[in-house]
Amino acid sequence: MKRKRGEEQVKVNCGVDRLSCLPYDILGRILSFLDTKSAIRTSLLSTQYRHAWASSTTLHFNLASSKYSHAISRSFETNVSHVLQRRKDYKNLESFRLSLHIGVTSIFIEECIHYAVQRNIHHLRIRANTKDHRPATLPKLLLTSSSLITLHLNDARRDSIELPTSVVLPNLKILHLKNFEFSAKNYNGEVFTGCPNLEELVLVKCLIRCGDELKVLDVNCLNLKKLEIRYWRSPWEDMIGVNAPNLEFFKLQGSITRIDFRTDMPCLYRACIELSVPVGEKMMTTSETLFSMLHQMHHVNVLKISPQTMKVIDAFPELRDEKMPGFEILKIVNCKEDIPMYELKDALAFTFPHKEGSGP
Amino acid sequence: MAAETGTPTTLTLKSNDDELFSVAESAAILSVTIRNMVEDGCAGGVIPLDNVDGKTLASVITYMNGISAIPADEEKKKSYRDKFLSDKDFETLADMVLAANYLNMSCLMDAVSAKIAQVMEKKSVGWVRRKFGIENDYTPEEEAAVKEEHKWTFEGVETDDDN
Repeated sequence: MKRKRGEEQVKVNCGVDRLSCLPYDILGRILSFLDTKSAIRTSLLSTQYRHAWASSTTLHFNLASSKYSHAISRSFETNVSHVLQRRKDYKNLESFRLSLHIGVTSIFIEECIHYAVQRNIHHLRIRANTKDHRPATLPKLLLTSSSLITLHLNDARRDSIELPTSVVLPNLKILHLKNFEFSAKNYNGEVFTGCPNLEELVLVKCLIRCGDELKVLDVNCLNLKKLEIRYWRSPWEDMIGVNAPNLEFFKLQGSITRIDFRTDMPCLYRACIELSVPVGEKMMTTSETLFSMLHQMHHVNVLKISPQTMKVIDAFPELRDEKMPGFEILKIVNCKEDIPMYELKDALAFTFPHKEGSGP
Repeated sequence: MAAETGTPTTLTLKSNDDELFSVAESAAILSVTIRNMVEDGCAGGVIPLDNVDGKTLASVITYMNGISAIPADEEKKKSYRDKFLSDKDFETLADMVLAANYLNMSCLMDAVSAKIAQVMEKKSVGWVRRKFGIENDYTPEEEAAVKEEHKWTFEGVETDDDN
């Protein structure tokens, strides 16, 4: 979406009605933010807009849930295929999004992804939901795409999309995975090492398969700047091993997760520990896990913690005073009980004074 | 640019209805159009912005100041943009998108376009035509044919309401 045409539009004389001269170019940009169904409707505006939707570099299809799911998913597949066919001569597609809240056939998902990748896709976002008990396989062309910058995959039913064991995505910067189950079969670390320029990784509601040989999810991403682990579903024995020396932001949300930061992270600026699940009988283990994680993040400048996290920190005052001396004073200085999140500036520089090189 | 000298530089911008505005250079150069003028050395006196009226320019300057005060934190910038646009009506948004386009401010342009799209999504074709002042030049037969061609996209609820 490079535009150097702004200069021409400057000369448009707007006259009385400022809306009547909204340049075609701007409408094209607005179209790219519409879902494809709404974008196609603009073809009825006037003859000028008849084919405007087809030149849009964004396609976004959404299949909402409905009680007539079978009939609807079939007509949806037909309609989408029809749309793709109609714009097949447009060779570029920047962004493709498929959001399925009803099961479709896996071959349909595969065909959609294939269509997108053939057009040098930059941003691909799939919420996969299959009805034929066969996970969709990501086409090889996608797994070695050099144009791909953002990839969001959501395996809505946990058996709708097959996680590739290895990828070669030299330009991928942002990867979000949701609802994936990692196991020795589908995971050997190459999904992450195959993305040397990955800057943002978000794992939501993922887990390591229960009782699997795989016990540690290795995240080796040397250029990673942002890591979010949200609602990790694995049991206690499993762990996420993070090797990301350039990390700047870290967020943990949901329940406590064993995360082992294996390198020093001198650039870590902000962290957010947002535990929200009541801990119950595992309080002691939770506290210990939390303290050891905070220890590894001692460079952090701004730390945000939720009230539930604060509960865990305060649950065993002796342990807290041993692991984080000075935390009590810090709390009084920086926190207010009436705000939902506690924001602690220079938090760990203060509480771990024995560590070198911490703080601003 | 602005960092060359110790003191912050202030620019004077003039709207097409002759209102004058002072704005810090560091905020104003969010506009590539203005930045180019500064770099070409044409920013010494008053910078005339012939395609932006005073009301819209005031709004854009509020945005420039607000967003440039936020350090490099995309999330905070995004939430500022959302809040900034949340109370703007459709006419204002249309003025803003034209101004952002003229001033070449890509981030504002995207945010406003997305907001306009959000409003359009729920509206009928008639509503969009009226708001954008688009003249329907289809013959009734052609219009029926286009509608038939993309029949599935017209299924579901549409409103003609203004809000």
